[in-house]
Formats: sequence, C-alpha cells, structure tokens
Amino acid sequence: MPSLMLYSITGFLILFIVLEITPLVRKKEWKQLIVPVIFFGLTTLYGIDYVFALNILPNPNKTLYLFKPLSENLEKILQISI
Amino acid sequence: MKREMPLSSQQLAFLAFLLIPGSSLVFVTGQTAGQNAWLAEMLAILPGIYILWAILKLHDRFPGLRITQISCELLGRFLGTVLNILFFWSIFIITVELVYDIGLLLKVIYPAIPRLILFPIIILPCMYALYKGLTVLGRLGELFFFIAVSFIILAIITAIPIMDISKLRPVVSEWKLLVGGFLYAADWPFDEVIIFALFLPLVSNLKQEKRKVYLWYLLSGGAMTILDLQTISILGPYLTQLSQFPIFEVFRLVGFGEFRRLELGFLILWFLTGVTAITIFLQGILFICQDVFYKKDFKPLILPLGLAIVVFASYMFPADIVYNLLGFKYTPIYTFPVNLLYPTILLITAKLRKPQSQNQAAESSDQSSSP
Repeated sequence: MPSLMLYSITGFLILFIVLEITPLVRKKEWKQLIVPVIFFGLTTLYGIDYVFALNILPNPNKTLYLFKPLSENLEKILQISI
Repeated sequence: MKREMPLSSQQLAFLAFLLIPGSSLVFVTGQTAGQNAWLAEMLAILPGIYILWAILKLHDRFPGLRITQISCELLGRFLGTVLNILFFWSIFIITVELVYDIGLLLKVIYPAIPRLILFPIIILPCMYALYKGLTVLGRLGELFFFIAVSFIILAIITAIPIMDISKLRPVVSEWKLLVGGFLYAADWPFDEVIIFALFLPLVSNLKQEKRKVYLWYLLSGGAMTILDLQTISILGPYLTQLSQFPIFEVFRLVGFGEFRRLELGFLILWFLTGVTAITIFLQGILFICQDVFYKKDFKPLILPLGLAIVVFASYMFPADIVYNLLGFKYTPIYTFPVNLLYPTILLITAKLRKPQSQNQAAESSDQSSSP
C-alpha cells in the first residue's frame, strides 16, 4: 500500500510547519530555513515518486550496485556465499 | 568556568555497549564463516577497537572538535567536505538498513501492519528523544543499559540447556571462510563505533575514563560472540545461514517446561537496543549535516532527515530480495573501507602535519630570536 506514504509525508509536514517553520519565520531566520526546506522538499518528491511508481528520480541504491563486481570477486576469492 | 557537557563518559560507554546488539539485532553477522562464525565475530572486535583508539587519539589532538570538523581542519574545506559526504552516505545507508531490519523483525510479530506504518513508528521515538537533547540520549542509554544486560544474561542462561557443542566442530577448518566471516562481521556491527567520533567533544571526563568505553565495548562484543556461539551450537551452521533471524529462532526453541514463546519477551531487548542505535546514528547524521552545511543548529533538520529515512527505507529497498542483495552483499564493500579509512586518513594526516607545524614553530622562534 504505497499510498500510506502520503499519510507519513503529510504527518511529517504538519509537524515540520508547526515545530520548525513557524518559529523560524517569526524570528525571520530565513537562512536557517533553506537547508531543512530543501531536504524536506527533496524527500517529499521521492515519496511522491514512490507512491505513484513514476521512477523519474534516480534511485540512490544505484550507488550500491556499483559495488557488485567487487563483491562478487571477494566472494569468489574467499569462496563464500552470502 | 568549566563547560557543562551533555554526556558523561559513563553514558558514552553504555551507548557503546548498546550500539553493538542494537545494530546486529537477531542476525549472526559472521555467518559466512559457517560453524566458526563466533570466532570470526570475536576477531572482528579488533577493528572496532582500532577505530575507537583512532577516534580517541584524534580527539586528544583536537579536543572540542567533531571528526567532521577535524577533517576540514586537516584536509582543507574541499577535501574535508568530500570525505565528510562519503562518511555521511555510509552512516545514512547503515541507518536506513537498520530501520529496515527492525521493520522486518516487527513484521514477524505484526504481519498485518504494513511497513510504511512500522517505519514511522520506529523513527518517531528516536526523533522525539533527539528533540529533547543529547542529555536525554545519555539517560536513555543508562536506562536501557540495565534492561539490555538483564535480557542478554537471561538469554545466555536459558539457551545453555539446548546447546550442542559438537555442531561447532571442526574449528578453523577453512581459513578463507573465517576471513570472509571476519570481514563482514568487522563491518557490521563493529566498525560502526566510528559514529562516536561525532559525540566525543560533548563528553565530559573522557581523558580519565577512556578505559570504560573500551571495557563496555569489549563486553558488548563478548556478549554478542557468546550469543552467536550458542545460536550455531543450537541450530547448526546450515540452519543458521538459512534462517532469516537465527537468534530469534533460538528463542523460539528455548523455554522452561510449559513456559514457551520467550522470543516475544526478548523482542523488548531488540527493540530497545535497536531504537537506541537508530537514535545514535540519526544524531550522527544530524551532526554531519550541521557541519557540511555550516549550520548553527541541527534541530530544524531532525524532521526532514527522519522523513528521509522513512522514505528511503521504502524507496531504496522495495522488496526483501533487493534488501538482502544490497544490504548484506554490496553495502559492506562501501561502508567497511569508508568507516575504517576515514579516521585512519585523518590520523595519518595529523601525524604528518605535527612535525611540519613543529618545524614552523621552531622557524618562527628562530626568526623572532634573531636580531
């Protein structure tokens, strides 16, 4: 049920607005807001990509697939199976 | 005036104790070594000790600085940040995988609850603890420590009657398997103590009480070795490798007379230590982000990063097969060298820089003394 992800994102978004954005906006600390908002926005995009199975964004697990040849060689050398 | 530190060295030692069972949970991490997995795990404690030694040495040289700050100080802003990003990715993957592991374990007990509900349930208490501050993390460590120790002792005692030592033979029959088991166990969970390099500037009395940290780390490693030894002697090497949660299977078998299903009780141990480990890693990720983005405070990042872990646990590992492949096979190839080499590079650079700075100091004193 990927749609459950939307509930998580909405819950986190409400908490984020109440606990972080509102106090920082009141204090007019705009610089402090930039990085958290970018992080939140990017994560939300990934969440939406997952819910609707769009597969538009690059999957970070591709960085792990880069280690496939090394892992296979290590298994061959040590004669192990994981 | 002496600065008040949020963590005591005793609390750090307790957190080091909780991190190992919290990270390895119900898995026998050196299981590729077959019947010698316990031996592989015992040997794998050593790289962890080396990492602890290296980060404590760096802390002695740069007191008051986190390893991410030391990295920029020693290697310059660009190279330092590159290393910090590599380290961030290593810790982020470890955290996402740990959340996925606990989700997998909870799925056994609550099969009807979807993972997308379990992941936020796991991560929300950790985020709450971090909102309350590092003092709470320290106190959490103290509180959970006694519960964890009681359960580990109980686990060891209750499993003794069904042990069959003959399943552990032959010892060191194939050295290649032992080396394989050693490498994978060294990566997970022992080299994860690198995370404490981010906490050291916030610990009081560390110089005098370093031994406590080593001692509780060793005891934790020893306890995990005994638990793994018992698991292999009960299930045998083949069943241990076939089983998804070998230690969990053992506690399905143990019991006293009619008193069975102890594994549900032991779930308290795995959940508490697991949540503590996630809290430690999440705090570490926040520290790294704070340093990489030069932020005053890490608190506004707690919710975005908490959500990132929930989302990426599902996005990166859409199925158990993908997780088994990436988590157990490919991730160690990245995380082990990064976690081991990161403090090593910094330590070597610090050592190389020391004579240089001494020479510079000598030169400047010569210049000032000359007429």
